Amino acid sequence: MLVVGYGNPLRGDDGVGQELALMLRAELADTGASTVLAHQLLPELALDASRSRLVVFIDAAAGEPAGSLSVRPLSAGGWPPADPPASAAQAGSAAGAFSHQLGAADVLALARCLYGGCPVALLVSVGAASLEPGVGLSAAVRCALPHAARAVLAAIDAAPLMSRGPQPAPGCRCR
Amino acid sequence: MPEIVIEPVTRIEGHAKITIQLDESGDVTDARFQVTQFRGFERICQGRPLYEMPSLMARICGICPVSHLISSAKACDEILGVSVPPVASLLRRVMNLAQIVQSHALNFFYLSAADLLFGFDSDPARRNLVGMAQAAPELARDGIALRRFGQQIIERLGGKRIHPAWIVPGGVSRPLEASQRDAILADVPAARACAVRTLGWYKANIASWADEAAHFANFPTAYMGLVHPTGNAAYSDGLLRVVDGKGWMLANEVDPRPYWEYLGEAVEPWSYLKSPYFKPLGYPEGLYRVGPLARLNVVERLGTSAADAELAEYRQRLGRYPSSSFHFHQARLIEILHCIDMIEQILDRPDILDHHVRARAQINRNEGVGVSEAPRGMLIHHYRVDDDGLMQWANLVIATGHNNLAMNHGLAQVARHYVHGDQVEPGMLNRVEAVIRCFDPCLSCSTHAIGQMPMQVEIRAADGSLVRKVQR
Repeated sequence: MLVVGYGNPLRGDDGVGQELALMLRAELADTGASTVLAHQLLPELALDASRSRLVVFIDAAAGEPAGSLSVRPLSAGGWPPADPPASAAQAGSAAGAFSHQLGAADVLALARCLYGGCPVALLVSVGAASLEPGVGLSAAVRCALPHAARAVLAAIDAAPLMSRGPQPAPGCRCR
Repeated sequence: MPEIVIEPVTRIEGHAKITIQLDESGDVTDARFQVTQFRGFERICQGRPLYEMPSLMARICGICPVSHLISSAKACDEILGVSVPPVASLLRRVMNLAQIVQSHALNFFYLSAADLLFGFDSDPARRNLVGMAQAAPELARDGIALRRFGQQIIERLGGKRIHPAWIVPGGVSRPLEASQRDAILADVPAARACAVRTLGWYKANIASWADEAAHFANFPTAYMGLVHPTGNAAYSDGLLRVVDGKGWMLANEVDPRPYWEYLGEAVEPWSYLKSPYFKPLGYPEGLYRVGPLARLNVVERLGTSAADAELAEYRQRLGRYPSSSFHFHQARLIEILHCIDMIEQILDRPDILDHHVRARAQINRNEGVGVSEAPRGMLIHHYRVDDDGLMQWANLVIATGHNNLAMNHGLAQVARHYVHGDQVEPGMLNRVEAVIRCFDPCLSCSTHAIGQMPMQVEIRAADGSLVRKVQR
């Protein structure tokens, strides 16, 4: 299992991803789970994701009530398509075209295309009160962390894990 | 006069805009690379204790923090008046070399390779990292592997991949453990294979980019870098060498620390990025380049056999002093190979696990300068402190800043060749951006001096109406 907490701890509640991942690291210490704390998602994570049966991405969500929690399954979606993409949207998220704005789905897509890994994935989003420069979480987000950790652990326990090994995606010229 | 504005410039580190000036016929008269962000670390550090500087300055950048750690620590070393233990110098070198590998890999694979793979006129929707992963998965995997190789070394040595606190005034904070050394050495063969494979791919395809190679900032300049007294490349410690485009020595084996003797810094009103120039040649004639292309021009050899073989082939094909900035790409790949082999050489030393890795002292001087080779070129940190060790003043001469004049000249050159006002195609503008990517500018690093606000750029016709603006 791989837990990826990402976001900028110097921008207020954007640090919730890393903070929640640290809490989960302690809870998952006996499971052999790996934890990555990152400012942003990078292509290098694709290899780690491909080697995992379950990947949990944790990030702050702007525009959501502060401290609110969303835990939902995530997939690489319809990427890569069989033919070259006609648009950035078809190739994956438009933002995923640039390494500075790689999304969780893009990491999964790279894991599948480059390494043949197809982990089950969860996207955990915690509503942010503020993403302005500053150290420390808002009171609302900090208070929500214990509940968030319990909810994520429950989702991990309920996640359907792969019953077969990694297979290359169709259309990819993978090794 | 009408203008074309590209904002933001994509696939670079930091924020900038390019302004292309057209005449009434639609021909390019000038082009400027304008840095639109201001960081201000030269002011932020004032009043802070000297010992904070390496960690503080590392936070200038998330791509090359190790470079700032090294130059900052060296400036601190001079103020403390210490001799860094030899093994500590070697360990600093290992971290610096690892950073060069991962930084060069970032530029080549994540920012530039999509243009090379798909062509500069290809669909932007595909011409990116994600598209590259689909079309050339081995190339993408090699890029990821090289990034991980460099980052994992930094993490193993310093505890984390970004902003590690391990390089300190006087040396490093803890010695290398045998398990760390062995783990790094175990990764070397695979990393080397990635570098060799990528060089092979690049050389096999280089004819495809002949037109770009001919017109991407291809003009004579001086070249500046650090060299070892043997003539080998020196990235962490070395002496200054400056050569002109024909190889004449303009400065050779000079102490790089009194940089004010050979560098002037001009400030232009349209950018936060300063414009350093080589003083003996004046401004703006004293433009020069630093970084991979320049380093390969100033050294006699790199000092590792495989990389030197690649360097010999590179020089045989391109000449002893290649002038096109397009060749930064191949120079970067050759340096990746060299750095991997140097990391192995250093870690194979029997003394590398020595425990004496830090010298300690109080403030013994009020001024210090640290110089090293960052991935993008020479990096200079110059500090002044009071007797209590509180920072009074700092001047940073950043690699990207060294290349500012050359970038602007190159921009004008490529714009004149590819851009014509009445027929502006995306591929033309992509080439304008791509010439900047050759230099691999790191704009977060390079904008610390307080200057004037950049000009407000508008595209206007002779009657004052807005003509055109391009945004990505």
